[in-house]
Amino acid sequence: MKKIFNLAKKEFIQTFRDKKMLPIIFVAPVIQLILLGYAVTTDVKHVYISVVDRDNSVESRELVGAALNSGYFDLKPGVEKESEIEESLKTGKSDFVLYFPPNYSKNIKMNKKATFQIIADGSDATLTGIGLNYLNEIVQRKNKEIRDKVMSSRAGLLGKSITFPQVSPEVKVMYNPELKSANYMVPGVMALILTLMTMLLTSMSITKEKENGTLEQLVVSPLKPYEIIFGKTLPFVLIGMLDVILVVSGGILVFNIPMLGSVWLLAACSLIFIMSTLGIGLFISTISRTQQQAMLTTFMFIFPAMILSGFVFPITNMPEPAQYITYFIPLRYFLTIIRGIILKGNGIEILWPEIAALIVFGIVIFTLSSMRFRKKLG
Amino acid sequence: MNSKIYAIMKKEMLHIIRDPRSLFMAIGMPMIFIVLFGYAINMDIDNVKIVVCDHDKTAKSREYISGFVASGYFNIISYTDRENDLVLSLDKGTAKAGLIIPVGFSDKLMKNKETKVQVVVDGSDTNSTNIAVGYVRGISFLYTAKLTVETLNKNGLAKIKQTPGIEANIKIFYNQEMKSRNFIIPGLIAVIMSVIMGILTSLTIVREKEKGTFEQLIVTPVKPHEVIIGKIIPYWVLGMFDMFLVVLVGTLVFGVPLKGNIVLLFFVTGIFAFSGLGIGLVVSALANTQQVANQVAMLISFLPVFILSGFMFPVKSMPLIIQVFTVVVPAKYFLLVLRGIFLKGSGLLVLFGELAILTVFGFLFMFIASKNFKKKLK
Repeated sequence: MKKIFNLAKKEFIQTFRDKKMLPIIFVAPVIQLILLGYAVTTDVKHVYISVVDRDNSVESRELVGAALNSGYFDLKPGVEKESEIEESLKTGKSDFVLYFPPNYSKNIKMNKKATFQIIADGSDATLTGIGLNYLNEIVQRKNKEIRDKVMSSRAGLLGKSITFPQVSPEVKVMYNPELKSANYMVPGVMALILTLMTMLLTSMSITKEKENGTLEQLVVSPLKPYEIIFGKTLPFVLIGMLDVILVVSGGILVFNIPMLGSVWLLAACSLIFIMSTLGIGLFISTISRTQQQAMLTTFMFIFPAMILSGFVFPITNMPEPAQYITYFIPLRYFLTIIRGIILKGNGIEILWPEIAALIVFGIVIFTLSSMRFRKKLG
Repeated sequence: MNSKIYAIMKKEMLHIIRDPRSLFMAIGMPMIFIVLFGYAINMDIDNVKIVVCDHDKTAKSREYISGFVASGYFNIISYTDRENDLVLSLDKGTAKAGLIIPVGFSDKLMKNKETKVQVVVDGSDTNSTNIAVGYVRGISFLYTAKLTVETLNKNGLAKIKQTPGIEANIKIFYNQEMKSRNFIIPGLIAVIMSVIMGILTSLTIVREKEKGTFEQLIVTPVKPHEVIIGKIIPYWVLGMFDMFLVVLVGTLVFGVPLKGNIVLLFFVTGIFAFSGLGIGLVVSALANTQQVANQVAMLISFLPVFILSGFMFPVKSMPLIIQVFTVVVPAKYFLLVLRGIFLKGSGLLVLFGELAILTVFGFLFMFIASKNFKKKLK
């Protein structure tokens, strides 16, 4: 045990001897947290909209007003003619152009179908898709208003007074009632930083000894292989856990994310999760000769894991074969666990399948990698 | 070409070629990226899992529910009579939404009254939630409109040829099918170029520092600018090759349209590469170990490209403070150019501004890099 401690101490000294390492370990997570927490707003706002109004009526202005009032659109004037529409979309001056033909209000007044045009730039499909959704809702609301008015007046003419049936959904948003994207992202950032720090630092620190030829010295020392493994990985477990504390407190203080579940359960699950990231880090170090190789290989592991884990993109939207692959990504389970604990206040009774999966992955990956590492040492 | 530059270049080439894994990754990474983004990620929300709790159990309620199925956006995973079960599915994450239809749903509609249904959604993923809620409203609007017409028929008022109201005629330019892959894959060129240029270059000089071969370079009669040029040319070529691969696979396998001029595309990418290389060199000149260089390069080249450039999250929707930061992210301008050339077929005339900014950035970063580099040499 003392030997493990000594090796860990050496590793600590070595890591922090480089003065630039300290800010990186503690500043990088904070920058990532702030960037991802603030910048990654999946809500779409400030969609640029221009209007070519050939009708110039109360009705057309009313619809534009409704769109602007929704708060999602910014009016960009300066598009006057039909011929300017495409140019405006091409240069990115506007994302949407609303075109009202001359008979728009006349058709409404005559109780006919009044058509107007939405011309959209589809090159940013997210922005356009969500913008179209907003517009669609505004159109539907307007329609309901018009129809009710027309129908009532018609009924009134016949001397009848009728009301119309209506289904109105009452929406109750659970777990994240204000719909803040930071609530969704911050737990994810936590998982990401934990993965990056533990996996990358482990794989690079071992290959560094290989590159410098000091790994042989460790091998001929009286340290047993498992002592080398634990001694080398322990410091990164601590650094990783420190970063978790940093990011969680940052998330709570800066972004006001709720912490509904048990902090201890979160800490325990983080430790279990680290087992698999350290295992992968160890594995990478056994197949890499240089730090550059180790870094690139780690990147190749982390990047697909990040994309497929549900960190930003919901797994349910992926094609089925891709969904099967996600079952082999420990990060996937960990994300469900931290989001569950932080946002939903879930306990073990709900999260046990994910926790069990993490334990199995952790033990299998760590054991296999250690075995491979020992073989390489011998 | 200067023979000294050539010698350094040849040496750096040998470094890359002798390490087949790094070479493989420089080429394999674009492939992995493109498959992940082109295939696995689907940003269109169309498979929202919903649990239905129908207390009313009437023809009307079933008709309303069938609207959810018909919309194609929802996937009803189960029916239940107990609201607790519905909430439990949301807790476990097996469903993202729940629909509760109260007793008396049908009765109220028959009496031409407004009737409320409850929709419970898991708000942790804000984007999906917003979209799903929009769908629910849309479905309810449609159903209400249908009921309105029925009511009119019953009252003998429906002798209207056209349903009054407004209709949006939507026309989408540039990415008609609104496929997210069409705007993600061109953006990938920016991401891959930044990773190759920024991260690989950042390691090249630090590696020599760590191994002590940097001093040897200093005592040779090679001038600093010759070292820099010799070192970056191989990575520049590698990056251009990666870009070519992305264009090839993107257009041929994933059917991304390339409407603009391919020569212009290569030209702009070549210019963008210099800002990436410049960032990599600055990191390299400042860092003393590969671990630090790698972490810093991730922070200042990879993360901004991924998050702040508009690659996936629209810059316009970010908070103002973050938008200010995006001004100094060269990839932001490059992305506009990429999407312009690929999807809009924009030419030099439209893209002139972005191109000018990219050129300035390229010179600026290279200038900063050579400044720092000289100091280190003395």
